[in-house]
Amino acid sequence: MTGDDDDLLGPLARVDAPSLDPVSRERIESGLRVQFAANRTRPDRARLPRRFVVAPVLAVILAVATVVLLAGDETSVAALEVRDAQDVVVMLPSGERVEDPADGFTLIDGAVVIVGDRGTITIDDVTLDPGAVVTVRDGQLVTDVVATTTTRSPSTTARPGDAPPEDRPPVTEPTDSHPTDRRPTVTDAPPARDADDRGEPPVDELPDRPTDTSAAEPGPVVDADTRSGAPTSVPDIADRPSEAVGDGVDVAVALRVDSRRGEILVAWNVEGADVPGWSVRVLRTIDGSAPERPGQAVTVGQGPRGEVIETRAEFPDGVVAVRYRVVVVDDRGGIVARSGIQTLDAGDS
Amino acid sequence: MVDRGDDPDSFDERQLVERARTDADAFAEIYRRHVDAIHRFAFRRCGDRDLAEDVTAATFERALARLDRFRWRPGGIAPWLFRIAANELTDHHRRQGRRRGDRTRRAADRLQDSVTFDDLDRVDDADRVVLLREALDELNPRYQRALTLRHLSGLEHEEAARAMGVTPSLMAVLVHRATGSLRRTMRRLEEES
Repeated sequence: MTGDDDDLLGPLARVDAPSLDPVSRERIESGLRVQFAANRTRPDRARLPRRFVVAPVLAVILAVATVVLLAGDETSVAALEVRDAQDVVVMLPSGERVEDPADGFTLIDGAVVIVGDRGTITIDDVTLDPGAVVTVRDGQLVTDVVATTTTRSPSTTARPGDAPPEDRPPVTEPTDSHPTDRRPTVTDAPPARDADDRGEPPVDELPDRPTDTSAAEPGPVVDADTRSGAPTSVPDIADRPSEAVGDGVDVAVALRVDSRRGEILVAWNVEGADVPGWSVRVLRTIDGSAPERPGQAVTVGQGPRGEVIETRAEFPDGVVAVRYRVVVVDDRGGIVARSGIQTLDAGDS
Repeated sequence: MVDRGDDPDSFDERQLVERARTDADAFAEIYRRHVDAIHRFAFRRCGDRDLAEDVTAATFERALARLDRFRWRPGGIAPWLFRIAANELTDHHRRQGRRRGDRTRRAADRLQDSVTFDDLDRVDDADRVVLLREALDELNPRYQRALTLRHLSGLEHEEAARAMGVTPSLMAVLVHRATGSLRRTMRRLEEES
């Protein structure tokens, strides 16, 4: 090998790589500790009869609780136990995914529970219905719809290969931003304020990043603001689009602040999701204290192929940073693809 | 040489790895020792903060999940961690290369452009970085891993070979061939542009 060979990648090797920020560093470590405990809770069902699994599971529950307490994170103390999980995916704050958690598995703060189309799970005294998406926050289950949209292109709703509508996971109704009656103990966040109910000044416009409007889909952008009642055209909003990580599926998500209305516009687009009954979950995290913790999960429904769907959400007062990630799930709640994380950080401005 | 934290003593680290199989605190210590180096490696390869963070997290999650399979080798656990990270990166770029369209390609390019450079003298380097990443994406995964482990990880040649799972002499051959392939790909991309 020649010296020239050695230097070919020199510019790349000399890139001034930023440090991992302390919050992310801590978050990853916390996630690893949870994974460590969870790994020990997870029985190898293929080899162990159930009776041999109970004791280790109980031990792990204790371990999880201990780890959480030792971590000293006041916001992570909350823990809820699950049982009878079927067709359920739990997304931990670390991003780790646990399928059908064993009885006694403990949900920590920030965990998101996604129940599949034919699934069920009981968390403490609450049994979730198929299609439910809840988040653990401050020790309680939260199912709050911050923004809702279901926008389908007539030309794509009946694509060959699509599952029939009845096979699809439930789609959030546009006007349903209120608690559901069937989960009496579930705490709901306040419903999104009406457009006319905004006495506060608009949030500051976040700094513009280089905008490549061609990055947006050339087709019409659909304004899925459910309060408006009818779709309207809005300008291109793609700002820092992010690519997906998933097998055979592209997910793009972009964010922009509408300072006039004090809202965040989340544009997302899914291509190549040819799995039956796929749907989309938008995960939102608020504030820098736990920047990647999916503090709120928003069921958005299913978007048509190739169009950019726009969802409006409030930018709450005092919020420092908001992060979004779009997750595509199949009809069993399995994650098909996920976008990168998009961040609006007021601290940048 | 790769940054191995305050206490790079291999004997200590070997004990630490053994303890980490059953002790979360020990694994956390391994994480703290190596997280910065893994993150830098990921960022230099992809140029995207969020992706680098994802790759870093995934690397340690996989390491934890597979720790039972890790067998101690001279050089410690770092080459093994870099190997996992390199696999994560090549898997990511292979998936992206297969399916991303023009729209997302432009978006990704723009993210790559977010790399900041201190002064104008390094503008050439910035262009080179974009071209290098694009060319690396087009190499076969084995060549990608060989080059990134050798040149972006901070590992010494023998450690990089260990991370690749090959002998040092084979690693030299691999890197040489990969470099030639990279050079040809860069030339082609420059001509196309």
